[in-house]
Amino acid sequence: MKKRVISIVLSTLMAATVLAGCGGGGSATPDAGSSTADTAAAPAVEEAKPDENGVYQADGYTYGTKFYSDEPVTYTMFFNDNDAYPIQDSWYAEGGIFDAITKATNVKLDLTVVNNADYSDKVSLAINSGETPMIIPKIYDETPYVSGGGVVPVSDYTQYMPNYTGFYNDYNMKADVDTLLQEDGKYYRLPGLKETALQDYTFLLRKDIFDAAGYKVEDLEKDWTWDDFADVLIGVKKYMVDQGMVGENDYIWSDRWCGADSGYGSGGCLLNLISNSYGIYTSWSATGGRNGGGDLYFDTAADEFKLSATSDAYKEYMNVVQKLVSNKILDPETWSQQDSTADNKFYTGKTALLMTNRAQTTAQVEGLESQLGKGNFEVYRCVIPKGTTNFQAENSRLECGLMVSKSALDDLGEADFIKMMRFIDWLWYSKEGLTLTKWGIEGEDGTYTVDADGHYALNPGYYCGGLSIAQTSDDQEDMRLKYGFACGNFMYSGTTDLLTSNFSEDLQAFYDRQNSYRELKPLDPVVALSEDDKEQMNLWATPLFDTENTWTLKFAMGQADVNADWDTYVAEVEAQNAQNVLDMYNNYYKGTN
Amino acid sequence: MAKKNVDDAPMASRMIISKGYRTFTVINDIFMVIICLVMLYPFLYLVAQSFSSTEAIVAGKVGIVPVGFSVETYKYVLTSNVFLPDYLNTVIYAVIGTVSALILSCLLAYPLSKKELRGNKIVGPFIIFTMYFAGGMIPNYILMTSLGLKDTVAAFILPGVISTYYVILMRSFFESVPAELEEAGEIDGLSKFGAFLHVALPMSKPIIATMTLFYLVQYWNNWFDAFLYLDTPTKWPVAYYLRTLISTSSSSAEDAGEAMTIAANIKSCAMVLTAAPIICVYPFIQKYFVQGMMLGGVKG
Repeated sequence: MKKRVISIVLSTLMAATVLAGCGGGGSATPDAGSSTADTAAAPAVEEAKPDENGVYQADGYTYGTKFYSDEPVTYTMFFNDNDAYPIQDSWYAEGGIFDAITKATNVKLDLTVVNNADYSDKVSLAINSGETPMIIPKIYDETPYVSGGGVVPVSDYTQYMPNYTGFYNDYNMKADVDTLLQEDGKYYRLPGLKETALQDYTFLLRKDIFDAAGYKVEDLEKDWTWDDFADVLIGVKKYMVDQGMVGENDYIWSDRWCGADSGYGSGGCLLNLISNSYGIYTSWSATGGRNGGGDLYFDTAADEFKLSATSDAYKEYMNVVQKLVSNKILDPETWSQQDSTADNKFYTGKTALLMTNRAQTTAQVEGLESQLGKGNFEVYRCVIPKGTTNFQAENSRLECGLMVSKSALDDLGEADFIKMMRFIDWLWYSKEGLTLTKWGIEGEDGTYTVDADGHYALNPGYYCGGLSIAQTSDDQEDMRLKYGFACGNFMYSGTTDLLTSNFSEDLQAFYDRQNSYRELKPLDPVVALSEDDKEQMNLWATPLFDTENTWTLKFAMGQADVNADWDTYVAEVEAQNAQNVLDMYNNYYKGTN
Repeated sequence: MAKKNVDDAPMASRMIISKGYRTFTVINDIFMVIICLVMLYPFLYLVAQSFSSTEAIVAGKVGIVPVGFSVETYKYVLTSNVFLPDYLNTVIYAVIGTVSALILSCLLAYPLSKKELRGNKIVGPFIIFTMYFAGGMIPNYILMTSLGLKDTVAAFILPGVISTYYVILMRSFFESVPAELEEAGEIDGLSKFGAFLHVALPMSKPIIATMTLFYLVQYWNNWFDAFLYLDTPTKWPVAYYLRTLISTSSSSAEDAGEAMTIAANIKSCAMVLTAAPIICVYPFIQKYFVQGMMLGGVKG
């Protein structure tokens, strides 16, 4: 009897729970539907005509080359807080970035501050719980949030964004932006738009050592292949051993962005750089985006997608990696160590090269100075070697971007939502907005000035690590630390002139060489899978990539031989539904899905 | 003169300690010393790093003794405008949280320990149920937001204020308090609550000390609830600051280039300062801790 009572109680509870769940869902669905219907039924916003200055007037605000709200308005926004320049009270105060934005637009940004390391988790949590701020910047992959309906298809509103559409048209961004299209033919992230793709990651070489070993990098870098590069490094090591700088069994190259901190168990940045020059994708470029088909490259001649991991190019590229490891050039610890360990080896002169990017070079040079002393070394940012192609790794003119939450549309109503989109358009896409967030306030009393030739320069009281503008005297302040300008939440877009406006002569010279010696790889065709197929693709692709990564690291550490073990490796990869992944992708591409 | 009874002689003096046992004891001692060293080494290494110069750490010269001794790192961390305010937040949260948790846990555990109380058999399983079936992160997040608690101190303190496991331990302990003593108190005029306050509680010092330590450590180390519910940086506890220091890796491959390396001595210094209070408190509570755990555990 007792058991029967318990079972009845439990059954009732379970049924009530299920019904409660259904009830909640039921009420949510009509809400979502009704809001969509409301949106559709809302009167169309009448588009104003621009005046002679390209400025539009709308109800209660001006926009165009300038945005200004007649009434003060507040928009909520996520803020990605970086440990290197944590947000300060001074950013809100007179002269700070948020004060400057408010003065320029009459818009106050109400921030939800999240640490960089937790940012994607917090965004995911907030979107999934429907409690997200209106503007969500610094997003690299919007795909996980599309199906939940928590974010707005921003492509529906770009007609209200004159700066965005102007840039889009002026620089023919269609092919790039089309890579963001989802199955419904819309995109959900407003990407950073760049006039041209700039290869950020490259190597910082100890030029003094290379010169002394008899290798003129300036002459070699134009046409050197990875194989040539390996031979050069073998020669450099011989010199270092002869000079007693390292031992016969020491490695002269131990790199960052490949191990515990940011390698993600796939070889990180280095394997990404090498594989891209062989026309395939591994590591960083295989992990993100492209609807789970990250490892697939497009073979133009065959007009179909192919698997990077089992291609001939993979074998060639891995042979180079194995050559570097077997000749004790490239340290196998590269794939497991922390970035700071790699840095320390370079700073103390144990290694002769290290990967760098625009954000790290200044710190790396300072690290060398602290250990070796100023003037006791010379560094050179070299052009990445070629593989079987002459392509540089970075070919996308898109940067990370921002999403807009569905709750913003619901809360503001369409007219005010469009006003917010115009604010976004000004701040993230207009030259004035981008210059403000990058350089700060113009003028003698501000943070920067522009000379007659259009050259930007910080005022004497400031330097900026984030813009690679080094400190030259003790009484200078870091503009980014003090005021928040040049932070990663705003400045993704721009013309090449604006993007390179802070580059030193040395850096500008590097890009001149890079652009002259290497080419941009054409973009792969766009494939947008349905929700169900995306799910299926993830189920197949996860074990497939795990297998590939395991073997790739075995090869890279010298624990397996890419030639001797090739058949076993290919068989293992193919056993992980590789053909299914390929078929699904190619069927979509050919429209036969 | 009374005849000495050999049966009264201490057991140890009658025990024949064999050579094998002696060898075992020596090996056991050596093994335990090694274990201690293994446990101590990381902490000594942290302390050494925190007092060493950056150059010495970069050059890999630091072991368990500081190289290039300097207290500059401590000065830097203690004068930063983040560490001390966050530290103060942690102290406030830990004190308020621990006191609240102890009061509420005691008030819940004591009635549960009274088997004769009506409804006990129904309420008890409901509480235990929450140990196995939690609401989940997103429902909790929605709950906190709906209650208007997001970005408030309450959002950080309330979720941890009742731990089912600790309540069960306390209940077991309270069950061991002789009912006769409480009845005697009641005969002398104490109410039920008075018996709890003046008889049961004073006899439960070991479990209260143990729970104090548990709850204190729980609040001291908690960064996750701060990550979930606290949006304003000035409200963050020091554990979250520490997490941001240690977690230098970024959340995505594309973003990795911007992630900065925080100097090892700053990380070590922050870790030492954060762990120090708990390490200082532990020896004083340890005797209660062992006693409380044994009693609570065995009776449970």
